[in-house]
Amino acid sequence: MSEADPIISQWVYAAMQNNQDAFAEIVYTFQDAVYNLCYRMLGNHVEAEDASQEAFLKAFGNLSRYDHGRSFKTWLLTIASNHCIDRLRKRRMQYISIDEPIPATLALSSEEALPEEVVVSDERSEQIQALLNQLKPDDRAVVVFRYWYDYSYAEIADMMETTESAVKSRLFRARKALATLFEQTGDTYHNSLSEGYD
Amino acid sequence: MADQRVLELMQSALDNNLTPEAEQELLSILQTDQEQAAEFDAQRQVDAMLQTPPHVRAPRRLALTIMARLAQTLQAEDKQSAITQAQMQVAVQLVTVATMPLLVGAGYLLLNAKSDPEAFETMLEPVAAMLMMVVDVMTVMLDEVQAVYEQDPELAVAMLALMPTALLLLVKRVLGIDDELQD
Repeated sequence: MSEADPIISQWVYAAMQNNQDAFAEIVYTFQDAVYNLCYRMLGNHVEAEDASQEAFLKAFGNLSRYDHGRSFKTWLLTIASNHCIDRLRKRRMQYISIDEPIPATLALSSEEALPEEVVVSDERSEQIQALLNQLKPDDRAVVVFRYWYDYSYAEIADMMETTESAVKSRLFRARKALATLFEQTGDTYHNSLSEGYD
Repeated sequence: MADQRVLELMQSALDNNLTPEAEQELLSILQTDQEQAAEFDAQRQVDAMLQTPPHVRAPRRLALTIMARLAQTLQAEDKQSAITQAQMQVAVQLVTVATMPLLVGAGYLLLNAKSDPEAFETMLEPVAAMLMMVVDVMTVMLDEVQAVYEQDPELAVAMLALMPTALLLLVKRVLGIDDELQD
């Protein structure tokens, strides 16, 4: 588990005394991480911005509950992730009948190499996002935390209040769903995809 | 259970975390089971695709918007807190005003009874006991109000407002005024 940074702790203590400058330091330090997570979870820049604001304000209101022995970033991202999951659940019906098409240009074949070192283009990033948007909120969070935030299974389990085994199962299920989505990218109609992987 | 084991093996393989024995076990499963082999292939492809970290930066205005909203929230809280403090002060003064006649009345009774030693003796004990009780009850109630004030200032004010009534009822009960009136 990541340990707390003493500077961050200092900012947190100051922010708990309503020191706005200290909280501004926290916001500047973590805004990219929080915004990135919200965008990956919600798939929409406007909503991601709103969710990020809410996550920071919620964090400010709950600073007294933060355990200084643990990573502040993890705590903050947990708040953001829970907020995004709540939002996604609220708009679930809308989400199921999503009219955002899966890009037909994205095709994976076993011959196609995808080296880690290559800087992913905006287009590819958006394509991945479109696929990610089809996953269930909890599965999406697991994928984002595991692949793009490099959290361990134990950390993800702790953040999502579940077990390591459940995290692995969700990850497996999510990858399976994504693979199915890849296969169907050529199809014009994809409205059965989001419901099809329970 | 067998599926769970295969899942664990595949996950470990994707994490590059397989022991030689586990690797052998997975290999033999994949060689004998076409379905599992296809599954693993799909998992590997998706895993490779997800390894590339797409990153978006927060818009420049985000931090400013958050800080502006925070300032607004804190300002509203300060205003609320000032109002509640004023309410609390008024409530304390009302309690003092409301209990004052009770204390003055008790003092008057004592002073008048002084001229009649027999009456004084009869009065002294119950009046002194009543005064002590009122002061004790007030102390306890004020402590409670102070504790509640930290959590819920408005409830504390409501409790204070009820204090004179509660004290009056208590005194009437102790002195048996209700019973006497009924008799």
